[in-house]
Amino acid sequence: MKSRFLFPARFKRVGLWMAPFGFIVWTIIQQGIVDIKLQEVKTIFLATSFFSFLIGMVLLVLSKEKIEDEYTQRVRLESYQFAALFQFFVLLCLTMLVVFFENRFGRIVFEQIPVFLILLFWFVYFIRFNGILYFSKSFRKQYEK
Amino acid sequence: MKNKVKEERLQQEISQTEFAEKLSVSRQTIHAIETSKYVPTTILALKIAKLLDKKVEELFLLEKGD
Repeated sequence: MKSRFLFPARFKRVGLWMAPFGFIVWTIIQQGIVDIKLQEVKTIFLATSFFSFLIGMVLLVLSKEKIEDEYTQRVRLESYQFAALFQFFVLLCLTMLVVFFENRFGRIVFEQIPVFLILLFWFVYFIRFNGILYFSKSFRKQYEK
Repeated sequence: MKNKVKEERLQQEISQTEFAEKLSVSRQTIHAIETSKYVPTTILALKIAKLLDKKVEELFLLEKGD
């Protein structure tokens, strides 16, 4: 079975640099750790770093593995399903928070829900996919030369 | 479903890495098959049987719940 919608494996390395770098720069500027006085420059930095993070994440999760075989594809499919379920569960919880606790905190959460949920999906997918492929206990224990 | 892939592979003194390379799959796949976490496709099962010079039904055994 061929994966038609995945980037070549070499793009994963690009994503491995872009995503954390973009996130760190965005956080530093957003939290005011580095103060940029010019609003236009600040906006450019924020936008660039956020897009770097987004594109990095896409490359990380939508790139092939070095050896893309049937097992990898099954783990990939299950990871998508798990991430979707997890995202739905979080959406339910956040919606209940907004509906039943109609206070300032609930309104702030509601405004940020869509972006948060999209990123949560990819983050959960990435953790589960790589966790199963590379960090499962039984895999490490039974590694043979 | 249980299998005797690991047994036969070790009998023939083939490492997991070598085995994976010959089958053009990842080592994670071989490990998942040997620990019964993953049932291979027909094509891969046939390739494994051919490589180990065994029949598929000698390597892969149906269990009661299957």
